[in-house]
Amino acid sequence: MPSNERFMDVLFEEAVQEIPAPDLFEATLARANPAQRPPEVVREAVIHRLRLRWWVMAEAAAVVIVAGLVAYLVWAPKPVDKPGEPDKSWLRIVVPEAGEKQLAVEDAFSQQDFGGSWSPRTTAVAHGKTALFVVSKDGVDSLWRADGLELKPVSWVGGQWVAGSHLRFLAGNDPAYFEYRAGASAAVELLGVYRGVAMVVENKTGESFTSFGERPCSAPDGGWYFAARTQSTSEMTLAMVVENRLTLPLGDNGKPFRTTSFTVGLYTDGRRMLTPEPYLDSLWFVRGSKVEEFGIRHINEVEPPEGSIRGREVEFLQLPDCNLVMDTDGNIWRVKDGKSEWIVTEKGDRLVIDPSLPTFSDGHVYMTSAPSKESRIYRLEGTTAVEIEWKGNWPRGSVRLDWMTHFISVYAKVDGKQQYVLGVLGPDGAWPVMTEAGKLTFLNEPSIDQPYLENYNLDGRWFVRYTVDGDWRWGEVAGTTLYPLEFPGNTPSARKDFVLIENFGVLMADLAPRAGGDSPPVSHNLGWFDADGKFVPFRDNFDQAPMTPFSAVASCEGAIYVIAAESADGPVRVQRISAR
Amino acid sequence: MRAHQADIWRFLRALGCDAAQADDLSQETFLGLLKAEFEERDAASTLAWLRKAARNLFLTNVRQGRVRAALNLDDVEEQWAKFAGDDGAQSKLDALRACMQGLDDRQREALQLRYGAESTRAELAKRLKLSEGGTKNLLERVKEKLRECIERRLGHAL
Repeated sequence: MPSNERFMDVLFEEAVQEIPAPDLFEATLARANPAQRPPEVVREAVIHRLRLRWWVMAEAAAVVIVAGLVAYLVWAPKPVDKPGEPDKSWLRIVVPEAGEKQLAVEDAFSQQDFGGSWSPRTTAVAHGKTALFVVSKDGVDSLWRADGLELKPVSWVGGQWVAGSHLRFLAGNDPAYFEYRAGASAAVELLGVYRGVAMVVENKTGESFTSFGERPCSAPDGGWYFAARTQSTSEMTLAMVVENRLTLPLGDNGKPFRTTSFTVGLYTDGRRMLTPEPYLDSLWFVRGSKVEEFGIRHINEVEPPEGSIRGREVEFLQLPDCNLVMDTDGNIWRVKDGKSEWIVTEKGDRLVIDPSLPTFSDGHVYMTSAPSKESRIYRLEGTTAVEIEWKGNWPRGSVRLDWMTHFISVYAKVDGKQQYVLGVLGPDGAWPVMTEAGKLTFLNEPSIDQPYLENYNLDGRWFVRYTVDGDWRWGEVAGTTLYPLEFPGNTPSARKDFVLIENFGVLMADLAPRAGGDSPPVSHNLGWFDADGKFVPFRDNFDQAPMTPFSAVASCEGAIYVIAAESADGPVRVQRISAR
Repeated sequence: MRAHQADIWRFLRALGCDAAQADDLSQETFLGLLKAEFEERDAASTLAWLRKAARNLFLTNVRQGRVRAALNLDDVEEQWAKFAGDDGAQSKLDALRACMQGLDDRQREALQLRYGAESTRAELAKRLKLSEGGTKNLLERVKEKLRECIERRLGHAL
């Protein structure tokens, strides 16, 4: 990166975060030896020290108050439920379009003693028909497996339990991969769990790959990617994991490929593509469709029909038989078999697009005209951009496409104000998404803490989350109709942080609000959606395990596990919900 | 100290420190100045001394594994001196803040996510509902627009 870019990044951060460069005067004096201070600053130092003393006293008082509160909460007498006998019951639920379903609910208190206070460090994760979860106790993380109603420690091949100073789930199912550190001073290694047995992932010569970067990436169809960060440089060596074997993909120079950071995505034809960071690096790399073909190469078929990309920022959309290349001015061309051609409209005019917005959905490439108040949408056929017809009665405006989905939004004036209107795109047209009452679906303008639209695809069904007047709304979009999903009004988690689950042909949700991005949920509320799309908590229908912060939920093959305790030192209850 | 602290803090940020590290190393730099019985001749030589001291402290921290560096520090120091001018890049920052008023919501959101929330490109793409390539293009255009605006306001190239 040219240094000026780096300097501008510093200013961007300062401007955006509104953090002025701090006034370090007093803080510096507080650290200085008085004898070293020039006389003219002693007065300021005394003032600072007085301020410091005031703050220290205030902070000490705050600490005493908080400590008192914590002590009260920890030691105050609480009612304790005694463990009951294992319980077995049936759960009858009504599923839209499938009538009544019966689920078996098996329930038992585990005989497994975690030896005192514990907490699941992560939401449990599916591992075939079983669930894995991390228990954290007294600074030691251990890995456990729920199989049926039994909890078992996960062991190494030699039979020892997996325990260390750090265990964190990364990716996968079976195998499932974890970051693992044996002790505080040990290197971070990659641990794979294969059909319930743990192994450190190694390369052909038996070396493990240590000190993994914070951002492991995964590819969805087997073969997971991880990167190692060495201690002395910010660069990482890229590593790919297949089963329990590590391979180091080679770059153009025949050496293991190194980068500062990277992302891996599934691309239009199902191949995986790798993008090295930083942002200004414009190179893209691809791998073949087979693991054995993995390699990193620079896509070099990028030159436009006229001129050169030299000195221009370009971006690629890799299609099965060609590259689409576009620059930041919105010029777009196709390179196929070494031949470059401009993308043109049906009239033969060269197309200029909004270069941020090409997308790929259902086997088609879509793009919009250069940014304007009334965008046009095109579908690509060869080198021709075919304009998409607007269907239904909805306003024209500036269009946003949604990457790898068929959702679009139109920013237009409706009822006298500018609003985002939700729609869907197909090869033959763009339709508005209407409510069951036949009204347009409006979305809030995006903001930092409220994205304008999130979508989830579960087994071919599309679900959306969006905000209206500051409230979260959820719905399923079937065709061009939005069917709302409703949550209890007094459930804070109805606003956000829930996980949709589909299992046994039933749409369910785990309402699991979190204090922060990677922190474990502070509570859970498991339930399903009835024929009216209304959330029905399981606890209304059977004695559901207590869904406290000491809970973990995993949706596995043919079962949902709930592993819960009422408190950090309470007995652990395992519940397994399965199809009858 | 107050005349140069912003310059040193930004310089350390440019070297790769996060805000807290830059706070800490800036203070160390000025403490070093107090200990060194430094004789001030003029503002420019003081600033040059401070930058050199900050750079050396940064290098020490890199060697101790506290911060990461992947740069030629000599080059960065020289280029920062040109970029920052005699006001620690304050005029550029002021111009940037004024220019940001001219961005539309989406452009501002992209900038906020990238530089405010420090999202990765993948996270940014997910949030903005764009491809990663599209995200990059959007950010490049926003940055170019701001760069041009700053140059217009300052009357010279960056």
